[in-house]
Amino acid sequence: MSFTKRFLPAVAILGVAALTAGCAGGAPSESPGSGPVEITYWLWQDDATDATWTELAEEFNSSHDDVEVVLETIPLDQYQNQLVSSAMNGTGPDAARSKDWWLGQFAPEGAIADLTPYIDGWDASDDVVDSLWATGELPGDDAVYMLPHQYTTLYLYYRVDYFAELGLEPPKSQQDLLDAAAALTGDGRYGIDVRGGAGGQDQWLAWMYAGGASVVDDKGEVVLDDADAVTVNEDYLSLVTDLQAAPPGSITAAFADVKTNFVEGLTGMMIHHPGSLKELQGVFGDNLGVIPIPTGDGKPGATLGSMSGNVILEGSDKKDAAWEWISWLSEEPQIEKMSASPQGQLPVLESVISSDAYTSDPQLAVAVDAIRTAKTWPALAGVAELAAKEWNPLIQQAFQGEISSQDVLTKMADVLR
Amino acid sequence: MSTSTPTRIRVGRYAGKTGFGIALIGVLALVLGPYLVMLLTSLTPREELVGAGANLIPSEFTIASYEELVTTTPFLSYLRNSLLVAAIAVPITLIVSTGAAIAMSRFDFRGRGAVMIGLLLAQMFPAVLLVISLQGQLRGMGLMDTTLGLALVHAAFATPFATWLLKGFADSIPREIEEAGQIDGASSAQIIRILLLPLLRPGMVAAGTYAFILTWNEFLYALTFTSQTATRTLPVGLHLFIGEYQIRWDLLTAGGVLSVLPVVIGFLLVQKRLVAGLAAGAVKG
Amino acid sequence: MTSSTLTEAVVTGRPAPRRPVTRRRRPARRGSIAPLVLLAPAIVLVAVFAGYPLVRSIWFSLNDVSVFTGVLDFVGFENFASVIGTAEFYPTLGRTAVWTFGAVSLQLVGGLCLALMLNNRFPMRGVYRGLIMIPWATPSVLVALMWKWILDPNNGVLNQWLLGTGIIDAPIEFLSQNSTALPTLIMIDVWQGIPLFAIMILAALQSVSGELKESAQIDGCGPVSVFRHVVLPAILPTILITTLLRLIWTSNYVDLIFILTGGGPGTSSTTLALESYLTTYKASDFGSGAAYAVIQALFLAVFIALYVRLTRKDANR
Repeated sequence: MSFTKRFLPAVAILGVAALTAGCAGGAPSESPGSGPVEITYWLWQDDATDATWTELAEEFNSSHDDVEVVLETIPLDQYQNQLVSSAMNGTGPDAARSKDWWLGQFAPEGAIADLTPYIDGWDASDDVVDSLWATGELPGDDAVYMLPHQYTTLYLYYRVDYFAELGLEPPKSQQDLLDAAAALTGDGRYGIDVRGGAGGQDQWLAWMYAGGASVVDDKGEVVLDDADAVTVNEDYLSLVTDLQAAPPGSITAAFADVKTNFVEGLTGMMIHHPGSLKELQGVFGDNLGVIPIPTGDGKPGATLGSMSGNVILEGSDKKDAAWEWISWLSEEPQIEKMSASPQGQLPVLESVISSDAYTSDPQLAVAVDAIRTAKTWPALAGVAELAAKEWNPLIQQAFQGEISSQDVLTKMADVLR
Repeated sequence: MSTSTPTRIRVGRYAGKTGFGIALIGVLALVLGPYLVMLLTSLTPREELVGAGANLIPSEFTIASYEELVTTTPFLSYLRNSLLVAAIAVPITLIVSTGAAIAMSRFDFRGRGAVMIGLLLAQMFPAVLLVISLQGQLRGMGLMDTTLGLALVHAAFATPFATWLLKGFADSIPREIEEAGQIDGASSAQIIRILLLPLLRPGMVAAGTYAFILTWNEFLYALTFTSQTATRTLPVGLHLFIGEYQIRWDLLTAGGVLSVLPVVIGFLLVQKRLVAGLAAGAVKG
Repeated sequence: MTSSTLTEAVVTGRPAPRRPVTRRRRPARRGSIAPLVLLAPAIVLVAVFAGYPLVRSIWFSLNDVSVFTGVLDFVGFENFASVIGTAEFYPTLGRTAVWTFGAVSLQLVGGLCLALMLNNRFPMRGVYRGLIMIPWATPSVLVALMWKWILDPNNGVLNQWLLGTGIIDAPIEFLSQNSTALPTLIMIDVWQGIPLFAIMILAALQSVSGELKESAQIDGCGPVSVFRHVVLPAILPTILITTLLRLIWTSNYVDLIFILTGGGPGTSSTTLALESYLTTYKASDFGSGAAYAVIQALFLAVFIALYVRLTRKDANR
């Protein structure tokens, strides 16, 4: 029928046109034969306008003939899902930036490669701060799955001027902090944000660690819901439930909101890490104070460390090339560059930590000193689920007084067990 | 005609008209208010955004965020890509759903009702679940990270509603037209091409607009199936301004304004035909 | 119909004046392959990119899916049993109902009112109609962030205004309280969705025959009666299909909730679709995540069936 003769060719022509257009916008094709091995590297970025990562990639590509790296940026709130679904479909990258939260989800499943053989043969492995290797290991296992790259430890900022006004001393114990928070609250000001929104679990765990609680004991048993932890947690919750020392919106606030509140002078204290130090120093100058997170008894204790490291995906067939890239990233000049950039965090190399940039500023030193004693989230399989899914609703319920401190910790512990 | 309408009625009418006017303005304010806030925020200097509270009107207007957006981020590429994807997805949707609509309107065949229901059912799952399978499929077809792959997915999800719209529209075109054409000796293809298609045009405007909006706004598939600047679309680009520790409100709002502008202009151009197209198509269902 | 009328139709680009609906018999063209050819591209496209993933997801729900090895282990309805057995299941179901029906019914009413308003003549009507549609055409990330900015308790415009005019003494934490989180989300979705309803209903209103309305008025019906007996039945098919589609789209709308509240505070804004998403990706449990989606789809299927029943009655078959 002439009818079909008309219709189908039209579709075919359009199809060809579309395909051509599609190929024009498509991904660069693999260069066949001998040429640099191309690897893909996933990362998230905090600041989309900062060119540091692109510069590093270019430097690497021009100095390495055998490997070429292609960067792919994924928004952080989609990062984990994209990793998971690409693992399922085999479309993942060769190497990727990763948080320690997800280690327990990916490593035991065999999704990320064991880096120990590579590390053993790596020159700079001695330069990495010893205690940091643990962040890439699973409990009870020596194999390293994540190469340390950028680290943070949490501490406490406070407004020197506010404290002076009220005649308060910088808090040493957690009770001091509670008192200070209560005193600060009033006249349009609040004590501290509790950050119950995305990412807030780090701030909370820092408090818990500083208060002497643990997630797991030496044997690897989950002890998050034991009596000590319950008390420490109760203190934290009381900031909202009893003292109303947190500003409106705090129980669902993410870091961006918390920072805005502190910068605007709405809160007198803030828990965070050196990533924000330069900016806050610029805003407050001498009115900014930095101290370790108050501990249970006022004596020096632990805080939370958070590692953003690099992993190699097990499904990749270019692991050697991927290793070249991630190990290069963790070498001294690159670490220096990264840590000094707007998106940078603490360096993981002894050589860089001991350099002037990191020893001359006493406020920064608070964070640097904590590197050796800070604890991270243990790499349990349930941590990813807790961090990404369960912690927020549970803590928000607790803040609203719907469940008790004991109950909320037990539920969290159950997720981990 | 009446020489003098009673004052009571005149006042009543006047009040009614004023009330109507107020209602119209109120609705417009509610609808456009957030965009105005977004526009003002995009014109605010960055230091003021984080600083002292949300003063709606900035102390000085600046286009710095637009400059930064265009020069330091690949935003214009994202814009181009979104347009490119739409340029492929919308025609595909139109061709495919026009064909289907004509088939279902003009022909009687078994399973016609089932096809209609099938098209509806195809939309029942949330995208977050379907994306897993789609990713594997696109990879298998070699369409990952291509404009074409994304456009095909968008077209597939726009087709059901577009078909429904066009079918309704086609139903309202009298059969006599084709019959007259047949009497005049035209073939089926000619009937469709010369007679039906022109009459379907308003309906195609409606369906095309719907498809365009779908692909312009779509985020999850765009994020999952594209990874390079050469293929990424606007919603993904906007999302990248949400960082780990900060949200670049200045860039986000500037990008937002630039994302919405083409659509606004498009709408203003198209709205008359859009309503006409929906009018004839919507009633029959 | 004469050739001249045919020419007229072609030249003016408008369908010939509509007659009362009498001849809706389909021409007997059974057996011709033409319909299949016309239909095939649509079927293929939708089947490949929407149908197959759908089926595969349903299959996931019946399996224990190991994410990283892709191995599927058939477990029958176990996922469903465990999902329904969680303490939060029925509350989530309830919230989903509130979210979906609340948002859609408000949009329907709002859209209807707006459509009635737009059906009148006023200056710049065309421009106005174009502008009204903008929320519908805005990416969800933008909608979410715009409103987050406006609703912020400490810096947002809305709270500042409310405080400034003395309506409230303390800022309202719209998205941080159990009592207000879901309603706020609903209102934002309504804001985004009214334009769609308004335009669809407006279109239907404009095709209601003026003659019918006039004859009803001549027969002595007041405006309300005219509306009820003439206009409403004529626009009912449009209302039904738009409502159905909006029900489906709203129940699957995850982006807005995810960005603004993440399902919180607590679980006060968690819907089935969001729970499906969180379970699939954050807890790496594809099977249970798919189970949530299937359960929701079953409810939606009921509505689709209802719709089919309702429309079959007045389709001329």
